[in-house]
Amino acid sequence: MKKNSYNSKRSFFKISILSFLTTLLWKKITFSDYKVTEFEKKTGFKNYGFPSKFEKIFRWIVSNPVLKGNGVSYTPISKLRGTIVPNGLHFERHHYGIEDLDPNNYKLTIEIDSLNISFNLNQLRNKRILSIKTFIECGGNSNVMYNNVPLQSNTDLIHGLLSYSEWSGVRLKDLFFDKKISKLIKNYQWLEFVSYDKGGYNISLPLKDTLKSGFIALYQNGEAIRPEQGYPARLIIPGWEGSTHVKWLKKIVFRNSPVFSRNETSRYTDLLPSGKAVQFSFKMKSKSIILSPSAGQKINPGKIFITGLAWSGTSFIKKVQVSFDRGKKWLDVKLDQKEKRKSFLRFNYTYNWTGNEIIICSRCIDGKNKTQPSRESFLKKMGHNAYYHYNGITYWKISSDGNVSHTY
Amino acid sequence: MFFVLILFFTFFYLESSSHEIITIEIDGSNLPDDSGTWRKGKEIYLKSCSNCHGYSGEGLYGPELVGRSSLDDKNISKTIGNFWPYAPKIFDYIKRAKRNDNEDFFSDSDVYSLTAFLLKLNNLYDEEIIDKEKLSNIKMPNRNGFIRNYN
Repeated sequence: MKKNSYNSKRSFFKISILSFLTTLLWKKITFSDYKVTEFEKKTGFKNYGFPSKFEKIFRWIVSNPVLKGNGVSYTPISKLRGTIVPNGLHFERHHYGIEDLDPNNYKLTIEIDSLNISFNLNQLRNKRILSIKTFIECGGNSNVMYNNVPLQSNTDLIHGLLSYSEWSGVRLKDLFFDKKISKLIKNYQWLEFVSYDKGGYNISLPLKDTLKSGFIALYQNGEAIRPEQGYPARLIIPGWEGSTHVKWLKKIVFRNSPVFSRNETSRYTDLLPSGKAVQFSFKMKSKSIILSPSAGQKINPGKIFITGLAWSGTSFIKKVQVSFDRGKKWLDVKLDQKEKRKSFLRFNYTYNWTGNEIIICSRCIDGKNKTQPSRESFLKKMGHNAYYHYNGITYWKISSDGNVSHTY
Repeated sequence: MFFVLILFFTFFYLESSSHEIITIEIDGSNLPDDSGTWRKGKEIYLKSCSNCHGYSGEGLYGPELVGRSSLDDKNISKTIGNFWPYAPKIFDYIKRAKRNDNEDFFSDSDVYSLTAFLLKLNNLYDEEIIDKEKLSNIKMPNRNGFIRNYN
């Protein structure tokens, strides 16, 4: 009894804070706040371009009201098209605030055995730079889907801890391609990545799998990564949860065991119904969502253009299906041939809506033939307390008046 | 379980005399040679921590820190008492993530004291003084509560 009232108080508190902060930030800002310089006025050009002043597209910010720099900002994914998320709209999750490091003093240190090998930013930038398009998804993205009641919010606040960019940088394999390191590397199984941020954010990752695809990103969509994304250097491991992509990278320490930091024990572990928690569940599972029409939008009867995203941290997306009766009957979405073997893609589907109440949803099937589960079967396996790594289906109800809402 | 609970965690704190954050090992072998008391910890907690974590660790803007409820309940709360697997890592996390009123690192002795107080609130430690050896010897109830995807 006591517990229930506490929980409902908690959820009320959360929802009121959410709505207050997000409304506030949505209304207040416009791009015209940018101050045009005299030179720009004279030439009629801009040194750095901004979106049209008529476009109001912003991240939704939810942060600790009494602690600056702690919280999240959500990518407005339902308002974007294509796949690349502009740098200024990439989602953020900050544990200890944002650092704005001076590149002249920047140093990345590798600790192996008693050796300390350091690189400054120029040394990193002068190594072989490779690029990869990949998504970053917070391990806690979509976690309101564990709630007993469907959150009546927009899609962005449910699923917006997801962004897709082209990242360029130095592969860990290349960084460790050093005589002294090669000799010692076989003695180790784990790497600890440490940040320059205020809390010295640290995470341990298994050496072998991290080396397969991990790299130090220096550029995002062509330009130097921004302070909010870990300037001047961050870790990227394609398909792994956001908390592994350590920003403002300071140290890489070779170890024989994990460090068991707070963010790999108390957080980012999946507590199962058995009472045991799955640890080091790095890979984000295959998932899809319909972004339009979605919660908060309104549609008219007739032809509707459905669009959404599908992605996988474990494989590629083989097939996407949509349903208009809450998953009883599934229809294949025709995927562009170019989308073959992609692990992040946009899908489109045209549907003729007659004006009856329907429930729409999408699911994906990945390269390992795993089908994205319904919410019920996901929760049956994972329970309600796992908190992270939700990859079940999201359902939108289209009422006869055309309003779209979140439903289970 | 709500995302915002996590968001409202208080994590600030800082560097004082030592500007290097040390990763404390789970066996406590590199804990500093210092000590603290739960009484002092209570004092610091009420001054610097209770605004976010509540008067007795029940959680507010920050997560709950205290409680020993079973982890297979319907409405669980993950706390230090029922979820954290290694006691020395409480020291590690307070030291790296929390600041005192001057926006500075807590001293090692203050962190020992806070650790002792939080352990006492969770009914896991009842002595006045805590130090490296005592903290290292505490066996947390959820020590074996994890299934590792990697070994």
